[in-house]
Amino acid sequence: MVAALLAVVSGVLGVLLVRTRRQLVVARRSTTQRAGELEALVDPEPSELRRVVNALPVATVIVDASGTVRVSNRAGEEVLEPRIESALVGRAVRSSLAEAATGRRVRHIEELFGPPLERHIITAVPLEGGGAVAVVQDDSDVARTEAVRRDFVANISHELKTPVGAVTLLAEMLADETDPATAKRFAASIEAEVGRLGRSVDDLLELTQIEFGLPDGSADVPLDDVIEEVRSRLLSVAAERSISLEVPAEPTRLVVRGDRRQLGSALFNLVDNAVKYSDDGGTVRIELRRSPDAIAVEVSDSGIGIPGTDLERIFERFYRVDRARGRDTGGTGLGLAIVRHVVHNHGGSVEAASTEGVGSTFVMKLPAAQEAHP
Amino acid sequence: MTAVTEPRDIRKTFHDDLADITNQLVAMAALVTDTIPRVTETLLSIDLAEAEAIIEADDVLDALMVEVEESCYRVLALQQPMAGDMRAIVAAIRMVAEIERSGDLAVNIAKATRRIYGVTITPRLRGLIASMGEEAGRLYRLAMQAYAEGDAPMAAALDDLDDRLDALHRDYIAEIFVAHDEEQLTLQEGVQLALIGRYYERIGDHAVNIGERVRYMVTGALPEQQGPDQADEPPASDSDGVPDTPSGPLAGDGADE
Repeated sequence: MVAALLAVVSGVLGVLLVRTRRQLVVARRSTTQRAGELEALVDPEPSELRRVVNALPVATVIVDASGTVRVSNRAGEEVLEPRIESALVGRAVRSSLAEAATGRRVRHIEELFGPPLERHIITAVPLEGGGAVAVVQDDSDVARTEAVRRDFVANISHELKTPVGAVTLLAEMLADETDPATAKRFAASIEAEVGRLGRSVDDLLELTQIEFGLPDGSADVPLDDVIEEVRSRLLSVAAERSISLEVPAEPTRLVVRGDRRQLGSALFNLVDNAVKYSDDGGTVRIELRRSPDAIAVEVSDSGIGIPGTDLERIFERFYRVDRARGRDTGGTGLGLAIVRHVVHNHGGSVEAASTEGVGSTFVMKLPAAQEAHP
Repeated sequence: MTAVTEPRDIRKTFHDDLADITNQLVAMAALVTDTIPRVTETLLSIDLAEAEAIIEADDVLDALMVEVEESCYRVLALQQPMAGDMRAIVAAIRMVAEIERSGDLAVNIAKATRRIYGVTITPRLRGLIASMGEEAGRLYRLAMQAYAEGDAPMAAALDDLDDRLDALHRDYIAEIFVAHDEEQLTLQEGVQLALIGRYYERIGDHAVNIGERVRYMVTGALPEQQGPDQADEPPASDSDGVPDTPSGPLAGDGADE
């Protein structure tokens, strides 16, 4: 009896509670709606301002005289969130706003090491009647381009001026030398330096040609032939240092549409680098893999490897990975730039993975053409 | 200190104060995570000018530590937080010391760069240094992500994730012995490089300690009285490959000063 009574009471209470909750939700909704309408009637500017700020392509934060954030767009909110990726920029924005709120215009540049390198320019200005506005411009692309340009100028100066300087010095010494044996040694050194300069100029010319794109009349290029050509060119160099040059055991009959000379040049540069940077007795492997829409040409070595921070930049012209590693390979510093341009000309991509002391792997992904006939 | 640079009335509510402390702590940790790859690059390229810049920049981290600590004490004194809020403040006070110490370890690596000037580091050792740097940075980012998001399971996972850094450290020490045996390194150079490895390994331990504090903050469970919190004690030779040196430079953080 008591149980039945309790059940009835709880049922009635339940219905009442649900009804009350619904009424509350409706009441809250209508109150919010009305408040919004009233706000729009009284002062249409805030919503207008919000729309404008949201449309801005830069992070924007506006604070009132008390320092409270009044308006910020999505990018601005992300900057102010307590995230490790944006915390330093967020901190700079806060301090810039605090300073701007005292009536001073502030420009602050926040550079982050990354990698990749990041640069953010924060500009904060005081607002009439108190408060301040800060905008954060992501200047990372410009910073990275500047770094590339700076290194390029330094590297090209080094690559071209060093042999010229050496030749000048050796020629002066040769002019005064009376001992025929020493004179012969100087002459050999001059020849070596001129040869190095010549290789740099040749590579620069080749790179310039490749930068123009593919020559007219692309053809089907059987990759087996390209690999065999590169292998035969480098076999003796590898054998001299007991480096094993491994190629696919069976013909793959894979074909790429493009320019045979450019593809040969790209693969030659990859394999040549792999041999140069391998220790004596190491292994360099060329593999081909086929996926539905692409062919991957993979060159891996058991060499000294490339530091992670350099991996993104090794395809730049004349970029050198840490000269302090003390391995003068006689290369021109243009090989990987040639690879990148050739792969782009063929509508593909190139990636590098490496661990220092373990080895490196370069993968050229090229769009597949139809398979070659046997 | 913060009150000097930012108007007091910006912090209108207690929760604003807590949010400020969180922001400051994350900013401190971001300084450390930005310094770890930077100092690794400095070490591998033996860039003495950059090493000097890193050493000088540590003053910013020290000043931030004072700021955060003062903010915490002010909130404790004026707001008298309870329960979860109280734990958040207590955890922040402990974490700030962990982060500051990690910054000191990065500075120690920068100082070590000066001491190994002229040493040719073998490719294998370079690779291991780069890997330890990446792993230490990753642990730190995860620890602070767990803190910012109040993610106790992620914080708890840090201890296991640190095993990878410990394994790298063991490989690194073993590789130093190999390089020394092959006469690629002198004994003094080997010792300096071993210390550098120790600094990275300790940064990882501090990240784990931060994880423990996050767990305490979220769940109220006190960190176990063993494991990473005890890492200030000298390491056992069978655990990390470094010989026991209770009063030597490898004890504790192996700090320079």
